[in-house]
Amino acid sequence: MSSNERALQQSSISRVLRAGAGLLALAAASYALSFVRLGAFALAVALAIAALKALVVLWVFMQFGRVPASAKLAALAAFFMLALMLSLMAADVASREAAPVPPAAAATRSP
Amino acid sequence: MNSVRHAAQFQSLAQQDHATRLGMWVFLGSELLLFAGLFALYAAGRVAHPAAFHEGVAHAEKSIGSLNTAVLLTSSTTVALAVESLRRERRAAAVTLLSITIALGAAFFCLKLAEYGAHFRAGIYPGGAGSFFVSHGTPGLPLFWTLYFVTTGLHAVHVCVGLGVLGLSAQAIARGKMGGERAYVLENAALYWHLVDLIWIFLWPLYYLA
Repeated sequence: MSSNERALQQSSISRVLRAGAGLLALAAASYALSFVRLGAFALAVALAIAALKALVVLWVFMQFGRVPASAKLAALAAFFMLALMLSLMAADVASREAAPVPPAAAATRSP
Repeated sequence: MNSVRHAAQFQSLAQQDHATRLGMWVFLGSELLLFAGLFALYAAGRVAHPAAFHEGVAHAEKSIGSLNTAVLLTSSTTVALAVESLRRERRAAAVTLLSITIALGAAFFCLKLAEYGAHFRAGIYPGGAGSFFVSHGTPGLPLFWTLYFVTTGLHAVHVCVGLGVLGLSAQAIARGKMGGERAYVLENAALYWHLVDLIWIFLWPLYYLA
């Protein structure tokens, strides 16, 4: 093994260790922030930190940048379907109206 | 070192390696969509019953859930290190790191069972059953706890499957059946474990923190 290859391997191990430490630090930050009154932003902040952690796992541990292009396409197709499903779900929830009361039920309710 | 041959349907080991990776990522995509349905249900439920979901999070076992997060993140690191070790033919180190990963995964599962036990003792069961829901009648609370049990239960099943896959990989390496030339097999097992970690990364804030 050449010294260059050895150095490259050592850097990949230190990269994994740094990513692991970073993930634990982000988790600790998320835990600490859960005790702070952030009101309506609490969930958004927690999910933003979660997304950051997910990117670290995807990029460093799962080495998404190094997978074959066909595999990247498969993963991106899954993300596209995910985005489509969540968008349609959000549209459904946002456009719901209170169900109208049937005439018969309305008649029995009126005095 | 083992002489590695590709399966008959492939023209080369490189082609087999490529097909294995592609198949694994397609599988991971399908797993993502499986959990996405449950995340979508959670989102719709939270929009419809914000007070109930806040109340549910307040009753969650935050300390156990947070400890489990640290355990799972550490296990993801050790399995990534195991892959790096096998790539450079450090088989003993790879087996040791896989054993640590399996121990951490088992600890996660045991903590999860302890958490379920605490909920059952508090009268919280799926479907709004249990004494807890008599004294806590907020509409939407049964939905929160049913989603909690279904989603974390499905995740726990994935943890068990991952433990089995990692155990088989460790056994193959220890018996000399898997080395650096077949590191892609362990890489795929590790990818599955990382997916288990990824799912938990989002379950933790939704059900324990906010």
